[in-house]
Amino acid sequence: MLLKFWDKNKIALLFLTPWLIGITALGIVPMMASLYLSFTEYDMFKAPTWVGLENYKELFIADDRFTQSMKVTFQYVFIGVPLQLIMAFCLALFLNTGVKGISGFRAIYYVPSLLGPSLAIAILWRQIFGMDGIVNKFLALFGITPNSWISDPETTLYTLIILLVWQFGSPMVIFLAGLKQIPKDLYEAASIDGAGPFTRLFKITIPMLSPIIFFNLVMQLIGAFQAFTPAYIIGGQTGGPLDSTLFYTLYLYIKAFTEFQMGYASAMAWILLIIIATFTGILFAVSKKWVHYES
Amino acid sequence: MKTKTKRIFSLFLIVLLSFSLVACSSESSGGSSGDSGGKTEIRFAWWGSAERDKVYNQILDLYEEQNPNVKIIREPSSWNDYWTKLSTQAAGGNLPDVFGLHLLLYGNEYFTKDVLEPLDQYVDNGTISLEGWDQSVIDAGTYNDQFYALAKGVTLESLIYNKTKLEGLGIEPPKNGMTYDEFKDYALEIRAKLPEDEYVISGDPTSIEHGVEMWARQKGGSFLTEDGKDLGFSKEDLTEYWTYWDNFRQEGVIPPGQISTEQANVTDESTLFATGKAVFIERPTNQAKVFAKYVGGDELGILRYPTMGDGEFKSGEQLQVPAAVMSKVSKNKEEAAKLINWFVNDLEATKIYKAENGLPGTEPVRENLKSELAPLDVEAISILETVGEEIPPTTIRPSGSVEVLSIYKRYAESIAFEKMSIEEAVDAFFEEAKKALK
Repeated sequence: MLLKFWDKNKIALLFLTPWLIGITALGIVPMMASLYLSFTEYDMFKAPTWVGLENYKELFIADDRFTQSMKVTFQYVFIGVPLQLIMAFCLALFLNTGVKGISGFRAIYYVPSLLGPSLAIAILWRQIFGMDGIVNKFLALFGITPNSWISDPETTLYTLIILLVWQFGSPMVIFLAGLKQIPKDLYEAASIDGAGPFTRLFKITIPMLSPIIFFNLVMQLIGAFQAFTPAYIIGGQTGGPLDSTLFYTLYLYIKAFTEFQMGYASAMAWILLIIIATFTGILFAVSKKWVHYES
Repeated sequence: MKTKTKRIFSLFLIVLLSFSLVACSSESSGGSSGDSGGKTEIRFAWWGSAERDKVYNQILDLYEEQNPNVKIIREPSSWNDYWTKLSTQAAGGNLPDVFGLHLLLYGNEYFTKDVLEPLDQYVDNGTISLEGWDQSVIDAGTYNDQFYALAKGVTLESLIYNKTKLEGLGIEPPKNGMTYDEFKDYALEIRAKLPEDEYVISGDPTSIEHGVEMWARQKGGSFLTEDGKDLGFSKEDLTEYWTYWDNFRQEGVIPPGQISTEQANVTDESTLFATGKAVFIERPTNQAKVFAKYVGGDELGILRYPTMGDGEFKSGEQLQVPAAVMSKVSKNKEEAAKLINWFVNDLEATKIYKAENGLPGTEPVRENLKSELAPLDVEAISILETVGEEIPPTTIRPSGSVEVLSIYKRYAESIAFEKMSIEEAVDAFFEEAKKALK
């Protein structure tokens, strides 16, 4: 049977060879190595020693910082992503009404999502929200006492969420493209039938856009779970202050490279994979209820 | 296409693709130095700030001038970033050929990880000269009877202060040797005269480990026991320590949690001290002259860290030795050894360096610098000499300190943010630290 498969597809497989080698060497092999390491104790200088499920057990039972990192990451994802998408959606709707200079606006709004996840922006953010930053000077106009927003455990995470929401440009552009696809006659028919703007929004726009909303939701969710650079820079590399920015990936990094516990970190990596897969799976399952594909 | 042509075509494609594979697997860049166009490349990493980078670049340029076959790739970082970067590089087998290592803080971590090249053979074959070096400094760089590190300088933790600012407030400069109690009165005196948004000390001494280590040593203990299996101080010691500084925080002598956390992450030139908003900053003595450049003409002084009137030892400082070490995986060891030797022994190089990392560990260099030293360095040397007599022997922190320290910092932080009472924090810290040390 295998021979038949080979016979039929050998040219295709030959063409696929570079990609196959790549995905195996750079994807599958490291993943398998990581899976193996997650059951070991490994400090990178001595050979790994097998410890079975120890790492996983310790993570769930004994590690308070792990629980904290889950809390922080979940807050970030489940507050930040919806906020960002709502912002993207609203702005796409607005720009779609035929505002003058739409390509200019599109470009300007898109730029943050290009630069956003970068080191430079994170450093800039730290400056803006710091004690001497512009935000304080702005709030002073309203008589709000200056606070170091990035060093206060109550507010630091929110500066990171603001950073995420600021990067609404890329989902916005996708929404815009989707909006333009909606046939205008649907709206015309609806207004003839007496549908107001909100009815049009909820009965036409959103259902027609639902595949794109779904796409953006899944992509942003997966990305947000893996956020690292802003937390690393703004939280001072240790997830501070008081672990309020201890993102999951940051904690993983600390365990791996500052505390040299590679096995433990590998276990964390696989747990993250399962978490993201679970939520993505849930989204897909629920999507049958509200996503309308043009058939 | 005829089958034969198809076959030849697919064969051709396979060959082409395998070529691109080979081309894509480039040599692992980074890693130890290679050779570029005939020149030997050496990677040299250090921590510092913009001012210090200038000094280093000057010295390294001089070396390249004198040794035209060598190209030095410079890798400076800020203090915070340096250690994370270094540990990542160590784990990845990618350490620079020559790099700075702070023996007190990270000596043991790196000694035990077996990533440093022993320098004994270079001493024996004459590449590295130890003539005129103080034995204690050589000992500091020795581990398991092998010599690894050459000191760039020797320094101590201190409180650098702004003399001009004190004069402006109408307060006498502090006297060296004042006790913690005397310092408390003095600090409160200053606090009374400072405006609201200024502080006596720029930052929170409890947020770094030197303060608590000194306190423990003054009481006759240590941060960790020598075998690294237990804490070297008691819960009472820690409670006393944190209470002393928390009182300061309540009085506004040191900034509250939010500000001190931010301060811990800013560059030297942006600290409260450098911008004239604080009277003291806790730093090693050799950094006084660095800050002198940032305070725009204000005169600075160095205050010895408070002494403990009723302690077993008057002072608890550890001799801090920023040293130069070589990576085990360096591809140009001879050349790297030459560079290290030149950096710490050459009279011209050390003249440019001018005790940047502290007092030089070798007599001939010190002699040569006598006429050149800035007044702040002279002050630093006199403090070093006085304190040197009144401290317990300097130890290298055992392996595992780094983890306990990060636990310590978290609990110190929760007190600073008033999230935990001192009692709770002490108990929780001891619990977590003992677990980590098992």
